[in-house]
Amino acid sequence: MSKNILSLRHVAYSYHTTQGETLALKDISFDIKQGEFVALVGPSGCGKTTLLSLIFGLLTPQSGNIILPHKEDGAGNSIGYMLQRDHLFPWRTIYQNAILGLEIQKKLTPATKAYVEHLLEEYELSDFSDKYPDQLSGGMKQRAALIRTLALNPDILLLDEPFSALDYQTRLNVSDDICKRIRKAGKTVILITHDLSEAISLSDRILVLSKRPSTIKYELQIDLDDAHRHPVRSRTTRQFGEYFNILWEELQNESEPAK
Amino acid sequence: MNQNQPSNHELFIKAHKRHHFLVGFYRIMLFVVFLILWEYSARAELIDSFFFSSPSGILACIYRLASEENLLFHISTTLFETTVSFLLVMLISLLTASLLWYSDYFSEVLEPYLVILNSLPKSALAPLLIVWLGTGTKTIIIAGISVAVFGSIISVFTSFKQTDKDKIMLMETLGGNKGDVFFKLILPSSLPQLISIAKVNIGLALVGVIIGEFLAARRGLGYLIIYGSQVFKLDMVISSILILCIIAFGFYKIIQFFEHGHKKKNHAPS
Repeated sequence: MSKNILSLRHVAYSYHTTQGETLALKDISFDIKQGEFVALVGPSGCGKTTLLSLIFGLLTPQSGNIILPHKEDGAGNSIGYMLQRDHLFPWRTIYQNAILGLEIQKKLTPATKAYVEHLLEEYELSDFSDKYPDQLSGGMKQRAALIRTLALNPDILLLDEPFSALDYQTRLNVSDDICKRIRKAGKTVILITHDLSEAISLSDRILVLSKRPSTIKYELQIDLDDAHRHPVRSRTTRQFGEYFNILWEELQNESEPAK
Repeated sequence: MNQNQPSNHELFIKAHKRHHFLVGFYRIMLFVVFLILWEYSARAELIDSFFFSSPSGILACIYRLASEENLLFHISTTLFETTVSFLLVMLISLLTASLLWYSDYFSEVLEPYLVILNSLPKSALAPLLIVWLGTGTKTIIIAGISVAVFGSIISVFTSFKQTDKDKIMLMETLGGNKGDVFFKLILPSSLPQLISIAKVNIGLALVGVIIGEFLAARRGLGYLIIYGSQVFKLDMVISSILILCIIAFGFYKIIQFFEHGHKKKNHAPS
């Protein structure tokens, strides 16, 4: 079995305002294996984005540890973070947007440039590399945003509802397309989503977060063969309904009104 | 394909060109009609040309000023002072707004001072400036700066602050520090606002320079206006004001030229 690439141990985090302290996350522990595709689901406002920010290092946990064994070799930050919206800069071409991360980290070399061009080709954007974002469709922009993240060649990808800004049909196609490619590239992925079907059809394992202060309350292993790892075809399988009901029940218990 | 028939796109271009031509035509017509009415009223003695002058009177006056009073020298003085004031206003406000953006402490501490300085009528400062700095070019330029600079700092700072927080977070997820955020995100995304702030500033700098010349100069168009009104040569006053209009229009066109260049580069519809 492949080894852990990321481990969280009793991680807690709270927000402070003048009114007081809000505990957002309490006692979060889980392991992610190399090459695994994990989905995080939970009621809205349960701190999923906070959790990603902690893993990435934008925030520091109040207590507990986040362990990244790979970072010990001094190879630098090997985590890529993709946000909900593409946030491509309208004054840069698609190519210039794609190399933004490399430019910031001063890693623009002939080799990394060639890698970006290779990615643009692979994601069928090479004809558009000199175009500006407003000349592209929503799905293309999302792919360009992914290339910007992938250009830094991260081992772990954090995807924060990356498809939620797309319309439903595009969303099905783009999520299938992008996730297949990421899987093929052997990346480890943590995906936040509100969409249970998306979580089931894309991931190997689903972690269910409780409402605030949140903790991991349920873990579900997804067993689908490659042929059925598809946002539409997965629905025809026997397991899909089962998985969906389990997750629905778990979330239903969480979103009941507080006393 | 049928090549003799104009395509829909060609028809669109034609209509678009016609629209632009008509707008330009009416603009010029309005000016010509105004001049004719003015000249006619003066000649028919509907208005007193001593007070209101006339287009022909103004032309004669400008010719006389140019040949006897060194009009070009006065114009270039005002142009020079306004340009320097404008450039300094842009420089000072960009630097100050960057500092305010960089440090939240700095901006919180300075905010009330900026608001007060901005709402102060700047012409009230002019007598002080004369006592402090004398009546030279320096005073005029500082008068020009003082009118525009505080409002400009506030506007530039506001436009920096309006940058999408999620885009700043994106820069952070790509490993960007505050300098990267500023130069790769804040500055380029504020460029359209900076251009409109520049449009306001060039007008205000001109106002400040003219106020300064009223009070403290022996040259420049502001001086010609004051001098003309003191000796009751209203031709001279109105001619100077007309030249000021042309200067303001010229400045506006120069900035518009930069704006068009910027829009073209970004494929934004003009």
